[in-house]
Amino acid sequence: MDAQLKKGLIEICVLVSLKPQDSYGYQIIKDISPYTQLSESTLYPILKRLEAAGHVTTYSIAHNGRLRKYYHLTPKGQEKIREFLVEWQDVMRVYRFIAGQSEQREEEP
Amino acid sequence: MNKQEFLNALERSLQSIPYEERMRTIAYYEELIDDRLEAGEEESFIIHSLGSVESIARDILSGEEAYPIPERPRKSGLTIALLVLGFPLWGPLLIVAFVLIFIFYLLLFLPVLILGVLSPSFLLSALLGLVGLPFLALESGLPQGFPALLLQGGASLFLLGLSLLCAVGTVYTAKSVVKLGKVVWRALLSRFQRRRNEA
Repeated sequence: MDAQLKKGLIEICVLVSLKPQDSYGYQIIKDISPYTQLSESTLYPILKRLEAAGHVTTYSIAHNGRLRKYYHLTPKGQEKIREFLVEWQDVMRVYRFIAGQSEQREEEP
Repeated sequence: MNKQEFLNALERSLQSIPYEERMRTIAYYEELIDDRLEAGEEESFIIHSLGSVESIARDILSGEEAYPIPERPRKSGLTIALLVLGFPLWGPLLIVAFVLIFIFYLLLFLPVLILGVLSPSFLLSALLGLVGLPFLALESGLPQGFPALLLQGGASLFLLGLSLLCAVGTVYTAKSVVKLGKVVWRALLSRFQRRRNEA
């Protein structure tokens, strides 16, 4: 998959994973990895960007004598998810067209 | 590589980004490693799965467009003129600084030199003592010369042992001095680089 596209998709995945409740690095990776391959090093810049853009806020909580950084979805982040869903309806329409056409062509000969 | 070694190596390779950002990155990786350890994963496996420190650092550094290395202020004509005029003042100081660094380096190698000279000297004395044994026996006659022979033989063997010890010592001190020199050099360089980035 195109790297830029994948990064954008993972961004939305991260935001959505924060929707039910605030979460932390390890948990986010565990939640998303069944759907797309995601490493610690890929996640780090994405979290940083989301925070800089105001889509998430962070706070730290003591856990077993160390600090764990939690990420919280902001209204701006929720808005970003909604935008994604609307935009991708168009993408899905194009996808169905491409998939349908290519199937027909294969049946012809 | 264990967790601490990994984090240290990562910190070293991120010297060029601002301190706070560096600490945030280290904290992120430390938290993830701790969480995976808590989940029961093997430490060495976790470190291995993170990939090499170099590639992580490269990714982070390449994503650091937000922190461009600040351009150093151009030297104006006046500054250059002052530098040239001031040469009689700072020139000798610079030379002295170089000489001092050179002497410091030589001093580091002094133990190596001493041990290196002692080892062959002891070896030579030991060999001379051993070679001289038959002559001593002829000179003093047996058995009345036996205590003297015993003394010289023992002393020679003792010197041989010292020579071996010094040889081993030479190798080890040489190795550690070279290592120390590298550490000092790297520390100097990194300080210089950091200052340049902060400027």
